[in-house]
Amino acid sequence: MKRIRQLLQGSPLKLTRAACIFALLGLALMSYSILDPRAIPVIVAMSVGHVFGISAFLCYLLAIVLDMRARATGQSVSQAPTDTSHDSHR
Amino acid sequence: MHSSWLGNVALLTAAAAASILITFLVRRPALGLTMKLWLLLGIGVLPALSAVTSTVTGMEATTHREFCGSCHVMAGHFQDSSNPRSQSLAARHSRNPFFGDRACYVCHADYGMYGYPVTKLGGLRHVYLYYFGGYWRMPLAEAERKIRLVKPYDNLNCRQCHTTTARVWRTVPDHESLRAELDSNRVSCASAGCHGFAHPFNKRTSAL
Repeated sequence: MKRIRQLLQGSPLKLTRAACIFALLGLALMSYSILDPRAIPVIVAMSVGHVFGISAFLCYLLAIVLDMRARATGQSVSQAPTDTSHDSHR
Repeated sequence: MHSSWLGNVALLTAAAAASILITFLVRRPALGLTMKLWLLLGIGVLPALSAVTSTVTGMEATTHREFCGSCHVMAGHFQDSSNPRSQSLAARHSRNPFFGDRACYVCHADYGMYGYPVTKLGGLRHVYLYYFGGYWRMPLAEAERKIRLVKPYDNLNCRQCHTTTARVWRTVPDHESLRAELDSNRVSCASAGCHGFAHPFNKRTSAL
């Protein structure tokens, strides 16, 4: 529950970045299973790879929902200049 | 590695999705509508396409002889079936284009209604036994002595191609006299005295 609450309170940009990283991990596993089709790579791609992919898409959807909610309440959290975590990386 | 157009589609879509995602992570643009649509493509559409095509390609790869031979305990079976001079049942069937590169799968697949998932679950059991059941560390000679089929080979698999209703089959006296035993798998088509073992190299000399 704590994790879910943290996720819901997280900024859409952070969630989207997490989604990108999950998706990249999933894509890497799936691509590796094609290049090296042995038992473990194929099984890992079809299990862990798909879990990464689904997590990525869920994070992305959550980010969109949070962004829409923020826009509805008048807070523009998705704009890069107002995102403090984003600015701090610059 | 078996190159297939589906595998290429999986790699291309993965590369396209990765380029979108890396661009987003490096450039860190604002999350506007255009970016959201690009991300939908990079996180949703393209990875989904890549997942479907890589799954089909992966499942297809598991039916290839090289895949079965990729575990060292199957090296003897793989070498014998690939040997153009071997006269074992497995080798002769592997030289037949219908079996060819998928000979292990064609002969050992369960042909029941749920044959495909049942066969794949059996394959998962093999992987489990290999990595957690001690086969991983087992010398080849010991593996060839110890590893046996979990249940008697089903004659129905032979009968997928070799019909037992044709006149030629029925004119063989042994076929007719052993019909009940063959139907109930009490006598195997691939046994000594019948058509010989499929993989005779790992049988005791007395059994041949």
